[in-house]
Amino acid sequence: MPSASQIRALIVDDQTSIRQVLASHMTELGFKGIAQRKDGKEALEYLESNPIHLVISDFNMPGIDGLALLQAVRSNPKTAKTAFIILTGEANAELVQKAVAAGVNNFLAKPYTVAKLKDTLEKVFGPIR
Amino acid sequence: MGDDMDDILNIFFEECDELLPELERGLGELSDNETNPETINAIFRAVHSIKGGAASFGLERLVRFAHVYESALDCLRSGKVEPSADTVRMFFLAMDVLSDLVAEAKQTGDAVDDQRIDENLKNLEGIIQQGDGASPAQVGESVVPEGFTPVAVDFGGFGFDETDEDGTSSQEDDAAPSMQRLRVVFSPHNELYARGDDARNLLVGLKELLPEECAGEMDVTCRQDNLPTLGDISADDAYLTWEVLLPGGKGGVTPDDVNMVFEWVSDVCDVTITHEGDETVDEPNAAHAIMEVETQPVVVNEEEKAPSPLPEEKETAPLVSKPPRKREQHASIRVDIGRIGMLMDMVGEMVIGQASLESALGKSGALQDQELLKRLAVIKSLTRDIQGAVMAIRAQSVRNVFQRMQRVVREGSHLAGKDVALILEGEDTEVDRTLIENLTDPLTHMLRNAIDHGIETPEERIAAGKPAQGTIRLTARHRSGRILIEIRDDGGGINQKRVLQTAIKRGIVPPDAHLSEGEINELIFAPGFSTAEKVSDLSGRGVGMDVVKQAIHNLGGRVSIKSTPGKGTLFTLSLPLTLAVLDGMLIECSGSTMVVPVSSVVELVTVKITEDVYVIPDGSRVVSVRGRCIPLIYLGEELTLPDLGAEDRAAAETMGAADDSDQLIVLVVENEAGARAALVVDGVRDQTQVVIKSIEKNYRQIKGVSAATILGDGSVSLILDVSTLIVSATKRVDTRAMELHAERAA
Repeated sequence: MPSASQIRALIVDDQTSIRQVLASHMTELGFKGIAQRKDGKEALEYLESNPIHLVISDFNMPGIDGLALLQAVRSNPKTAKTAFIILTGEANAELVQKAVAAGVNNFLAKPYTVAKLKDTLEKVFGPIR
Repeated sequence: MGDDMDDILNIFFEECDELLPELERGLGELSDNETNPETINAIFRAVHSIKGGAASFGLERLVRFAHVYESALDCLRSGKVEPSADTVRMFFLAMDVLSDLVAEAKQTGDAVDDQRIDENLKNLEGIIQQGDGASPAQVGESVVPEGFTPVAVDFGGFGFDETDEDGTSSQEDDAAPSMQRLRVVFSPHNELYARGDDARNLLVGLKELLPEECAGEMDVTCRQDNLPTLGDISADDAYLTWEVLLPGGKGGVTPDDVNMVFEWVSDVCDVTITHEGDETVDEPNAAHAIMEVETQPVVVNEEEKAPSPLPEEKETAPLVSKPPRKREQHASIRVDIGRIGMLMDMVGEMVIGQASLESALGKSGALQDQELLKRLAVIKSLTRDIQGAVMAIRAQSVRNVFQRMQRVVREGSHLAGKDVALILEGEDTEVDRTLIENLTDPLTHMLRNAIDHGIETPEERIAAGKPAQGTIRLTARHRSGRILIEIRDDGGGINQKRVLQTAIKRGIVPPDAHLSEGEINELIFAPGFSTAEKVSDLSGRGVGMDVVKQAIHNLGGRVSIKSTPGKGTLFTLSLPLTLAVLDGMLIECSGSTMVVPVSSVVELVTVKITEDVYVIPDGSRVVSVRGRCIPLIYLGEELTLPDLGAEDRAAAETMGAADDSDQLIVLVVENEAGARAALVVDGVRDQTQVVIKSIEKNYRQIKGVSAATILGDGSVSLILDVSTLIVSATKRVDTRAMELHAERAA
């Protein structure tokens, strides 16, 4: 089982505050060196040259949105196995279904607590040290 | 909340400051029937983002409202609700509430009235009902569909292999005979690192060759036998050799695969690929054969190898000497405005300091030294550049303010029963932030005024042969160190007769006043002037154009009017680019040094009292300069400065060219409206940059003086308000009398 500090994570959200809050909570959980990108396009560029274990992405972003990013990540053999968690505040069943079909690992509903974040991550990675 | 969270909260508020105008822009487009999905999505996203951020910080009231707003917008987005005029208006109202709730959270605004929130919530819920007949999901309600099981990751594909606590890899001796392993030995040269590449990338590349079922079956050994003792390590040299064992054979990695990985670095890295049985398969760089000396291997844990970065220290190739790999590109950074303000203040002090240095050096006679003079000039120009650069940091485009005006016009024309289009030009023009903040109110008022009094009703317009829809053009542009904002309407123009009548009726001007067209237009800025027959919802809120003029004046700007009957009216706001510094001409008058803004100086001339100065019947004086008669202002008298004795006057005169008592030095100045006056001064001392210090803050407003400054020698000097001086002088001088004298002079 990995320890949190081993998991290289990338947070994708067009809102700086959301990214920073999430990064700050993840740091609390022991994550280190969390990368942040502000949209799907930048995220894909980053993934191109940086191996990542976990992407936590917002759903609704301009340009390449969370779903398109998930699909792109899954279709690239280099990143196909990357864990993907979608961060969303929208109760949009259709998008959620599409994300499940595209192979999302888990969802994190906004607003969330640190405990909820931990639980969401552990559902994917197992107990996080 | 810790400091960290406080900082992030501020970032959130800054985002709101960007999201709210975006929302407004989107809604504006929507009300103009531009219902493309991208617009609707942008509107939705703005509210969604505000909600999301607010939720992270526990801003309950904001979240609750934004949530319902978002749900209503979702109905619009999914096409369940049409963007009818009523719906859009409700969205606009909700936007105001949202904006006020943000201000409330920010503690820059008052608490929002609960009743107002409830009313708007009801509106929004009505839209939702209309859309899907359901009430919105509760905030925080799980979005995850029932029956969804989170998918645990397969660590194998990841590189956290099941490593035992002692760090030995469990696959160490797994190599089945059929899977003869490939041994890849590579030694990067210095150049590889110099190029910004990294051995780690090669290891990652090799790892990626592994077929799924063999994931993690890669042994890496770092040979450090070439590593010198610490004292002998050269920071720029590479010493390490890596040995990697990969599953080969059928279904494994082939030498060709490996060659692909090294293709890009073949010139800067020695590679040998052999089968584990030592049979050489491929040697792309035969020239750089590697000494295969077995040494104490350092086993690197798989999980440390990749993708997590390899500890750089092991390679002793220091980070500093290597060009950075991929530098993070950031288009902008956020800086607290207070810091920039501080920087601006310090630059202001630096300008003063530099001037004072120059002044002190001048006194000591050191400025005779050409070398010193040259160096001083360099510092002077640098100071100017720094000042420009700091100003550029504070600069913002007028876009947001301008965009906000779309709504002002939309609502205004709706209320006035007129059809008015607002055309924006030059929205990218950049202005100091302080100016932008203070522009909204005056612009709003002027636009309302243009709709109320400028643009005619559709019927009147058609009767006048104009299109039923009126047009207001709001333009911003830079001109010679100032920003000009024009508000041009194609309405009926200013009704001069009515304006004059009203002004007489209100006692603003005497009944027998003879005023030029320009002066009549100026009357609408007079306090207590209002020509609106009925007090309308729009401009009749007890504030007149005098308030606008005062607001612009406070920003160091001027308003001027040009009006053509039947064609329309043009208001021009001329504003300084910054409120902090101006180019000033230092003049001497009655023993005081004063500053005249260079931007308002037309020319400096000497005139002969006996030939060029005329006293007109009302007792005031005019001077003929290049055939044009302009009012003469004795600055000392005007500002009621103590008259100097003959001795002092003589002393003052030696400063300038006025060695003849018949001669006057006059500074011809001009305001934005083109009105001129001649200031009689004792002499001109210098031209320099001065830092503007508010006089009202420290003392009170003084007529004819706009601000004060500190000169290089440390003395305080007043900055003249040229426009006020000109206006008061022109009022005194009867225009017709001036024209009469002009004829005589010619």
